[in-house]
Parts: sequence; structure tokens; C-alpha cells
Amino acid sequence: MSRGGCKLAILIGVCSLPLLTGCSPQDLSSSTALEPHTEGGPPQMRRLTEDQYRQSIADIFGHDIVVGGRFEPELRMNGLLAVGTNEVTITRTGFEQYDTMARAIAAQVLDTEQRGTSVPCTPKSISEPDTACATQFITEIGRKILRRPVSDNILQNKLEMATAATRNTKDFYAGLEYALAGLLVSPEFLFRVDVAVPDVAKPSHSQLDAYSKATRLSFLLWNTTPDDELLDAAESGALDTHDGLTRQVDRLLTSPRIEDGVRTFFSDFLGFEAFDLLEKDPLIYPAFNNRMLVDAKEQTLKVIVDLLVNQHGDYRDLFTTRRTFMTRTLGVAYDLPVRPEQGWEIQEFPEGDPRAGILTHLSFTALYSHPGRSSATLRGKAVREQLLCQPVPPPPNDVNFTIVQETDNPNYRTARERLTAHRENPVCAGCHKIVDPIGLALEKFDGLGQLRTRENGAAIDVSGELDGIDFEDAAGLGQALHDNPKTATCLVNSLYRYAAGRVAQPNEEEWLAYLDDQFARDGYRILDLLRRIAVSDAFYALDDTETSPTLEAFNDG
Amino acid sequence: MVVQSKIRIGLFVLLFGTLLASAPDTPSMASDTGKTKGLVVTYFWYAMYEGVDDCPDGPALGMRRLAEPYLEKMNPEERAKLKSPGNEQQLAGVLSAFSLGGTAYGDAIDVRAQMYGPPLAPNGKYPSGSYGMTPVQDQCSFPQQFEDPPLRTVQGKIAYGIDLDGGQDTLKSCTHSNFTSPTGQNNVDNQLYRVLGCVDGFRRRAAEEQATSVSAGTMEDWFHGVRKDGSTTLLIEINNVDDPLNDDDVEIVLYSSRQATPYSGAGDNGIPSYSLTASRPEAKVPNTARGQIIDGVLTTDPTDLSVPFKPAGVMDEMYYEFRDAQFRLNLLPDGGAEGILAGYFDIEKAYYIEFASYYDTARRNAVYDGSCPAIYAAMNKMADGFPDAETGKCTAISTAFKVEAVKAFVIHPVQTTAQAN
Amino acid sequence: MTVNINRRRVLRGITNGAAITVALPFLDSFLNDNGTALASGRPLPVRFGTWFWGLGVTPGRWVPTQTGAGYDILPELKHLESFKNQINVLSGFDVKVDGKANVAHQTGTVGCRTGNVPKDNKSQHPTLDVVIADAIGTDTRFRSLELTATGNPKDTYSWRNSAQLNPSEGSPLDFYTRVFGPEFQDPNASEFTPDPAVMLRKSVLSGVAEERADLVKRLNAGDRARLDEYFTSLRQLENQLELMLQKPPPAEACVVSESPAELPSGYEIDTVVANHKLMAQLLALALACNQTKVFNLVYSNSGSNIRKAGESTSHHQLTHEELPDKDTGYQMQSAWFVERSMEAFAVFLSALDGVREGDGTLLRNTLVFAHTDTNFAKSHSVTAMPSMTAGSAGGRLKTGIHIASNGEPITRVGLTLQQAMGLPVGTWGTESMTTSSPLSQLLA
Repeated sequence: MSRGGCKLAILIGVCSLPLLTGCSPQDLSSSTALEPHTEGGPPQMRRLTEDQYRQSIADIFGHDIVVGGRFEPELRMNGLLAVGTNEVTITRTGFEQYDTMARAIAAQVLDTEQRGTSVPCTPKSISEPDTACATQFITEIGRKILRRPVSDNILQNKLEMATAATRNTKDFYAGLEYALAGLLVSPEFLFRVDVAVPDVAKPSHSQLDAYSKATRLSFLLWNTTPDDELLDAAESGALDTHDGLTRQVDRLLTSPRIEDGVRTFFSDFLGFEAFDLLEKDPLIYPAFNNRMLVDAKEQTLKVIVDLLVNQHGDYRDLFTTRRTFMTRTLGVAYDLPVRPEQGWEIQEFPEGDPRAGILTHLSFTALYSHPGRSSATLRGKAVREQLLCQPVPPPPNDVNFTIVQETDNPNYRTARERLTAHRENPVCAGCHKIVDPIGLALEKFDGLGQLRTRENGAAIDVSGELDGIDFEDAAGLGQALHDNPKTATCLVNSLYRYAAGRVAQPNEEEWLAYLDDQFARDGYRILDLLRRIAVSDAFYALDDTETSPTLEAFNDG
Repeated sequence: MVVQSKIRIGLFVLLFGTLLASAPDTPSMASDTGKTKGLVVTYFWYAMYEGVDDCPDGPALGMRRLAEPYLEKMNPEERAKLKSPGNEQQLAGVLSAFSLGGTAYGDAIDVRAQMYGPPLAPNGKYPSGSYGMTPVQDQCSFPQQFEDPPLRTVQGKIAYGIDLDGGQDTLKSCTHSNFTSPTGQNNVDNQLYRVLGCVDGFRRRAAEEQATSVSAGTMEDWFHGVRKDGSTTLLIEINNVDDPLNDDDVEIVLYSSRQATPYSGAGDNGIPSYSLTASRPEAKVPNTARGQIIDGVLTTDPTDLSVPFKPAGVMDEMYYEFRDAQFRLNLLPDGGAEGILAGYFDIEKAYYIEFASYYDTARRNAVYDGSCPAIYAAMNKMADGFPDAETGKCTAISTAFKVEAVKAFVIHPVQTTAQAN
Repeated sequence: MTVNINRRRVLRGITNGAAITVALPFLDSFLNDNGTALASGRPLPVRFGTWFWGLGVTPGRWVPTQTGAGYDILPELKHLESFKNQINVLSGFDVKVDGKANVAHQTGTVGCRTGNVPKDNKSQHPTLDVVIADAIGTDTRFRSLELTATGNPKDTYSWRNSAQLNPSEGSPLDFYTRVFGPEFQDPNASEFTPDPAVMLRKSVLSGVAEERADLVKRLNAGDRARLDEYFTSLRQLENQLELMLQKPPPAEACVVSESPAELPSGYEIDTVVANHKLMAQLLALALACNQTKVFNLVYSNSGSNIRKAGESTSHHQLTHEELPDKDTGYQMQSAWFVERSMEAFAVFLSALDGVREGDGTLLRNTLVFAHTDTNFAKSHSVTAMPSMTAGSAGGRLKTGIHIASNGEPITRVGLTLQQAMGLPVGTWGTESMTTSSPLSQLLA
């Protein structure tokens, strides 16, 4: 079957969904019966990321609505921005931005061109309050914005706002505009707040309510707000049943929008936000520019989506694939011709090119380099920490880096020579021993990721070793990473941490081991892994012993 | 010829065909560039040697210098007023009138006629009409109608260029002196350098030599600046390269591109390895040559060649139309090249492109401080190629351009490829 | 009495059409139980302006060799040394012509200010200052003010499109009369009319604040603390709006001076410098008196015609005709003009910095974009364009930094300026100058 054929087949109904893995018969749902029980973790209050905010607005109001402005910086915790969203709040500057954007969005939604489609009813008079029509608007749009039905209190509040503003401005739509702006700065829009309800099956335990489930699911798989169908499934109770949940999960997984979810996870997992502040010395790398950075990030995401979503491929093949995507700007750094003036071209790294796998992309080699030189240590450290989930301790405070930094020292012409000398210091040797042999395999890529064969006139030796496996070059490193069992385990742990927005709890260890095992059995397919998480009990389990918010509390008011 | 051309076309049709015909997720191989070398030109202008012995009498007399005696003849009050602060517009008016005629300084052109001879138009009337782009009377549009003091031309013995005529007067050549190249090659033909080499605005080293220079470097800055700003881009493709160091038959094709020449942010350095889309120039003259590579030096056989360019501030592409053009390029290990393109320009075309193709020829005349009539006369006098069959007078003048280029990927759109035959 | 009831009363007040004449006691109850916020300062307005000089800089004499904070000062920036930490130096950003003609002294200016290089010399795109004035300039007497020290009203680089130029005021006296003449609105005068739109905006926030209780019940202690921070931020904006509903504090620096004497005008440099200095002071005063939030000041025109007294050759002619000096290797007379331009910029910044506002100065609450028409005038190049920003836009822009770009579009600068001024703009520029990347290292 051709690449991408399975996905196509699913869409036209030849394959049924449980057969996502290579269309081979394998009953995924029966193995969920083996899913270990977990107690879950604490409920979450996660701030929407910039992408999530933008995408939500586009989904609710249409893609013509311009969302400008700046967002507050995000926070990386436990290796993921997703975990940081559960820690950050909204500062005064940030709030001003949200307020400005809310008013700008509301003005667009209710301008004379848009109001016909935005407002589901026609007011009796354009200059007078119309409670019925305003109620309908606030109820319908509020459900989309707040991701759950609008409470009576909020409805009353917004209705009063709309009425007062309409009276003041003699404009019904201006009234709605103020009400809408209020919904858009609401903490219940800007934060995804979990709501707990008792677990029907185990009344002593809690779990997420159906709307919180819908929200988790939608942001995990599509990185946006739940659509009407998902909210309806929450409202009808379908999402609280295994079948109903599975149906929705499979709907989201087979939509082209799954690409957004996969992209967002990998941007986070690979630390791509660091591109925003990456700088290179223009005298050393004259080809470097901002456009190149934007494209470098996108190149790797395109390869990821192509392999993992379109081809439903093996996650580990990301480290060996020669198939890639190129723009003219990138072609300069890769020294490859690119035909389209604008946009992307699919290519294979040509024969004889040492590049293979995403470790040899600019998104890795340029990101983990200094502004003016490559860094075997940064690259090795990134592989250990991000791709193998093995933290590397920071260097001691008093360490002398002179040898490493003096790239013009005639005694140490290559990075390998410099680092070898540096490792003679026993304080440094411990860490460098596990980091450098990885990074040195990528030394043929300079600080921008351009190919070179010599450094300061000396040939570059790119052989190395990863956890006992020797290799000859960068492609060998990719293969070693591909074959290393920790590579897949790290992905499983990271994806679950990303999905839950928190570090795994001790009670979830058995569940993670199970998930790891299933990932291997599924052929390391990311969509299968997402599905296992999304239909699991563990994903929705709550351990809210601290505060015990209840359904009653939510309804009170 | 046809076969070889098909090989080249075939390569690209194959690549594009694959790309277009197959499903979007089918990879096309990165193009095999082994037999094709692409270059984007980062410098292309007259190769000006500027030896210290070139202009022993000083720079050529240009408009500013020619107008001095006129200003001197004015009554002192009027002259002082003209040269006083705030009156530069009037002064410019005089200079302009001096080459344009006009009403503001009605007598300027008459005085000019008294000093340097009257216009040579029939019936004693100033010529009018359009030689260049504007229907005005001016000495740059009608250089043959005026007689300025003869141009000071290059006296030095060294110039860049190539021996275009085998070192002797051939059927193609009129009597002229040859230069020696800076590397010692004899019989270098570069008569256009002899003409332009002492015109102030065409020189850059003038500053070091003469305190009187008013516009050194101006012309080079203009023309090179246009390339740097991205208004004009020249691509060179070398095809059928079996061996990059020695190959007895290669093809060279020139293209323009709408994309900017890639330069690094600081400085004049080109950035290698850009992909640039070729557009075939609209010129009537061919833009293909054949040649050979010997020890890494590419030389081409004499052929007519049109090189597209766009002058500063001009919207439309123009062409340097070389006759019997020859490249001599050192192919560098990093994929770049540097060297010379030499050949002959028809005198009328050479003159037109530098001195009469602009809207405000006369004002530019003042900026680079040249005299259009003197330059035109010198070009005719120095002409050394393509003698007229009847009169024996040479109709073309030898020249040499400096070429610098960096490696580039020349990308051909499908349509161009299809029409290439 | 709860906050809720207060707000609802006010909403009814607005509803009854009483908004415009709403009484102060009403506002007291409208506000909150936190009266201290009233006494604190109403946020100071943030202004945006451009300062233009013609004919670029001299290669090797202006662009610092070091980047980042603590950059070095080369000779042509020496007059700005004392403002080093209040400005940013931006180099290496290109105007991209995309195969269109680089029209001498036009393309560079138009490209910097509109993010577009027109095909036919007719700009269809508004300049930065107009875009920003549309967003922030609607609540002052003048949407923007344009001045030129050359005296020629045509020396303006502010337009909605090339058919709608905003002409410059060329005479300090005329400028004084226009701003401080009979129609002058003294910000310290006694009448004050609160803006009903601000009242409504504040009500929106108060409404959200009322919804707090419902949400808090659902949160654990840690998340409650985070939600409290959110509401603190909301409250701060609410207080800011409340302050805008009150009579503004006296504009201390707004002390209108005597009308200036008429000065001669023209392109002679001493005349330009004298006019420029006076205009800088009058403009600073106009800003201090809140007459406008947006301005454009032209020191010398695009392709500058400025010349020295007693000499007929203008700066423009010099850039083409002057030879590099044998010893120094650069055009010394042209460079002299560049230095004078930078000196003038320092004079302008001094005028802004001389006005006290709150804890800082007017300069701090302003964002100035200083730019020119070319990089190196001799060749009219529009790549690697030099420009600067000054002031920190009330703290929204970091300063004291040299950013050296590598041929990226100069629209990155324009986008940054718009974002620093709070405009909801994510993408700016056309063709290969389209960018979505502001200079994030400058945005505070």
C-alpha cells in the first residue's frame, strides 16, 4: 500500500478505526481492558497558549478575524511548555493585551459585514435593546468561548452590559460588542479550568466533568477549542460513555486537523520556542537570516507530520529518514537547489550527503550551537535530555572553559581535540563522557548547520558511541538513537506529560509502563499512542483530595 | 547543437515532469547539478585598470570644466551671485543650458558655440527630435552636432582585456595600439577603456591622483548599486560539464532573474548556493556561447552575446550587446568564478547605453563630468572592430567587463524550458 | 452594599443618557472600595513620532562595530553618546525592491515607512505614523502634527496614500499659532468631560470581576492564587480606566511660552538648525500639553538640499561629487553633514528629555523612529539601511541596544514599532518585505 494509503483508506471507510496501525487486524479496544488503574493527578488551570488562543478565535468566529498583538512569554517546566501553562498567570501587561485583542475581535465580529453571520437573530430595532436576541447571541457564542454552557450569572451579567451599552450608544450591535469583549477576557476563556465530578463507577474518586473532558481532548488532538459536535457529546452525556468517547476520539484522530495537535506537541517537545531568540553572527554565517530560522523550524515539523501522520510511520524513523522538505532560503544552508520560488518542495537528501534524520536538520544543529560556532556539548545534551529524557547536570560554577572556547588555538583545531583536552579535568569528565560522543557525530555541521569536512584545516572525525553502540557518522548516530529503547520510552513519557499538563504521579508508573509496551506493540505509531491516551481512564482521572471541588459547587451560583 | 541542447532541456523536463505528474508526496530527487554549474553574478561592470600613468594631463574635460570659461566671462557680480549660497539651482541651470540650450540662460548655448564651435546642424538651427528618450535639444542626444575639445584618453600601457584580434589588424580590425594585461599578456584590445579611462565619473582612483576630481566612483557606484539593490540580476549557467577542471566542450547561457542577487547584509560579498529562477532575456542577440575549460579556466569561442542589465532608476531591462564576445573565467573551488568578458560594442549602441539612454542625459553629464560630444568623437576615433565594407571605417570598439560570481542553482520554469528550442 | 449593586446603578446611569454629564459623586460609587487608586497617577499617554534626516550615513563611521547592549560609538554617533542608553541603533535591515526600480531618495524612504516598494512611485500604503495615529491619535486635538526644519511644506513623509500627503508646518511661528493660538485647549483648564466609551469598557471589566466567586469555588489553593493574580491585573486596568474618567492631573510641564519670533527659513544649515531647535522645543511643549500623540519632524529632506553658508554645493551634490579624502578614505564634507544631522537628533531628544513627566521624562513616554532615505548616498543604496529608535514608549521598549541585521527586511523594525505602541498587528509589509517577526529582543 502506498504511503498515506492507510489514512486515506480510513477516511473512505475501508479500514475501521481500531485498525489504524498499518491496517493490520489488531483489536486495540480489547487491550484497553488491561489498562492499569490510576488515581490521576490534581485538577489543572492551564493558560491558553498563543496558538490555542488564535486557533480558538479562528474556529469560533472564522479565519477572517484578525488577531494581532503580543502574548505573554510562555514557561518551560519539566521539559515542556505544556506543563508551564499550568503555572503561569496573567500579568498586568498581558491583561492589557488580552483586553485590546478582545475589543478588536468583538469589533470585527459585530461590524456591519460580519454581524449577519455572527448573530443568530435579527433585533427588533437596531438602536434599541432586544433582550431575546441578545440572550440568544450570548448563550450561543458564550458556549463556544467558555467551552461549556453559559451560567445564569454570566448570562445576566453580559445581558445587563449589552443593554446598558445599547442604551448608551443607541446601537444594538455595539451593546453585543461590549458583552462579547467581556466574554473574551473572562478567566474561563483564557484559562482551561478543570471541573471535577464524582466518578460514577467509583464514587470515592473524582474525574473530569464532560466539558472538561471535551476541552482536554480537543486541545490534545487539535490544539484548539472543542467544536460543536464535541460540546454536544459532552452535553448529551455521550462523552461519559466508553463508546461515545471512542467515537469522538476517532473523529478527531481521523480529521486533517490532527496535524495541528501533532505539530504542537513536537514544537514543544523539541523546544522550538528557542528559535524566537536565536541569533547567529552574520560575519561568520553570512547566509543566516530570520527567514531561514522560520523555515528551519517548519521543515522539521513538515517531516514529522509527513512521516507520523500522513504516512502513519514509526516515530523512531524520524532519526533516520532522508526524506525532507526544502525552501529556497533553506537550500542555501543545505547547499541544495530548490525549484519553487515560494513555498516547499519535497526532497530526499542526495546520495553522498551525510544528512539523515531530524538531528541533521538545521532545527537541531543551528538551535544547539553558539552564535559563532557549533557545540558538540549542547547537541549531545539536547539528545540526552530531550530525546532520551536523561537530565544532564549543569557544569560546576568554577569550571574553566578556555580550551573549549578558543577555536583558533592551533593545538586543538577540532571540537573533538578541544573537548578531549577539556575532559582531562575530572570534574567535567563525568558529564562530557555521556554527552560529547553524541554531539561530536554532528560536528560536520557548523554552527548554522552547513556541511563542512574540515575545521581549521583538520579533518573532522564524526565517529562515536551511544549507550554502548558504536557508530561512524551522523547517520549512524540517528540509527543508534532509532534502536535505543529509551528513545521510545522518552516519547511516551513526554507525550503523556504533555497531555496531562503535569508530571506523572507515582501512582501512574504502572500505567506509563503499560503505555510504553503498547507503543512498541503498535509499531511506534504516534496516532495510536494518542488514541490510547485519549480513550484511557487515566487521562481523565482526578486526584482532588486537596480541595474537593464538586459538581454542587459548580452549579451553585 | 540540437542534440546537446536537448540533453540540457531533457534534464529539466524530466525533473519538472516528475514533480508535476506525481502525487504531492512523491519526492523528486534534488537535481543533479554535476553536469551543470550555476552562477549568480555579483559584479559586472567595465574592468577599469586605472593605472597611475593613464591620464598624465588630468581628467578629461567634462561639462563642469568646460563651463568654467563661460562663468569667467560673466561680469564678476553676476558670477559671484551665481556661485553664492542659495543659487545652486541657477548654477545648475547654466550647466544644463550649456549642454541643453533652453530659455533660462538663453545665451549659454550660444556662448558655448562661440567657445567650442557651433552646432553642426543644417540650416543653422539647433537639432531637435528624439535620439534618446526625450525630444529635447541636447548635446548628449546629438553628440555629432557639437564639437568639444578632444577627449583626454588613456595613455598608459596596461589594461584589462583579451586579445580579440590575434594581435594584428585583421579583417575585423582598424589600426590601434594594444595594451598589456596586468598579468603580462600582450596585445590586449580594450579601446573603450582608452576612451572612458580618463572620464572622471568612470574612475575611482581619481581621488588619489588629482585633487580636481569631482565625481570619482560615481558610475561604478550607480551600476553596482543597482545590482546590490536587487533591481537587476544576471545568472550564468555552464552546461555539459563532464570534468570541472578540463572539458573541451561546454555551453554557457546567460539569464536574468527577477529575484535579487543575494548579498550578505554587510559588505559586497555574494552568498553562494541560492536557487534563482531564470528568465530568458528578450534580446534579439543570442545569449549562448560555447567554450572549453582548461585547468579550471573557462574560455569561450567568439560569439555575439547580449547581457541583460537594468540601469539605476530605469524600469525596463536593457542589454549590453557584445560582438565576438569571449569569456575568460577562473572557476573557483567554492563554485564561484571571477574573470573577464571581452568583446566589441557597436559604437552607436555603446554610446547610447552609457550616455543617451536616460531621461536626463545632460544632468548626468554634469554628474560624471563628461562631455558627450568629445566622448562620442573619441569612440569613433578609437574604434577598432568590424570595419564597414565600403568605407573601411571601424564600426565597433573593443571592451572588457570584470565578472565576479558565486555559486547558484539556476532554476528553469517549465514554460521557458519548453520554448528553449 | 456590594460592588455589584454599585455597578448596576451606574449602568442604569449610563443608560439614562446621563453619561456625558455624569456627576463625580456617582463616579465615586462607580469605582470601588479601594479609593487609594484614585489618588495614584492616571497612566501617562505614550506618544509616537518619526524624525527624518536625509542622505544616510558614511560607511564605517556610523554603524557600531559591536552589537547588543554596550555597543561602541563611532564618530558619526558621537553627539548621541549621552543618549546611548535611551536609543537603539538598528543596522543592516534592507528595503527590498523585489526587482522594481530603486528610485533615488524615494524608494528607501517609502519602503521604511510603508513596508512596500511601489511599482510606479505612487504609494498606495499608509505610512507607519498614520497607521499608529489611527490607533492612538483619535482622542487628542490633533491626530498628528508634521513639521519640517527646512521650511518647505512639501518636505513630508507622512501619507495615507500618495494622493493624501500630510503637509509639514515649515515655520515655528505658524506652528505655535496653530497649536497654542486661540483654539488651544489647555489640559489644565477646569472643564472635563468623561468619555462614555471608557465607562463602558470599565463596566465590562467590573462585570468579569463579579464572576470571580463562581470560579474560585472550583479551584485548589495554588490555582486560586494564580486566579487572584489575574484579577489583580484586571483590577489594575480597571483602575487605569477609572482614572481616565476623572479630570486628568495637571500637565505640569504644560506652561505655554510666548510666541516665538519669526525666523528666516531655507536650506542653509544654520537656518535649518535654528528652526529645528525651536521646533523641537515647541513640539515637546505640544506633547506635554497633550495636543497630539503622534508627530513627524523632518530635519532635512530626502536627498537633502541642506548646504553650508557661503558654499553653493549642497549636501546632496557633495555625496555624489565629493571625493574620498586621501588620508581618511571617506567623504569628509559629506560626513560633516551626517554628524550635524546626528547632532540635531540629539538636540531633539534633549528637548523631549527636558520635559518632566511623572517619575520620568517625556522622552521615556515617547517612541521616536529616526530614519533616512538611503544607506550610502553616493550609490543610493537601500540595503543595510541605518535607523534608530529613541525613548522607551512608557517602558514597552528596551533601549541601549545595537541590532545588526543580515539583510532582513526593514519591516521588522516597523512591525516592532507598531507592537510597542500596542497595535494589534501581527504581520506587516508586502512581497519579500512581509514579516511576522518583530525584534523581540527589544520588546519589553
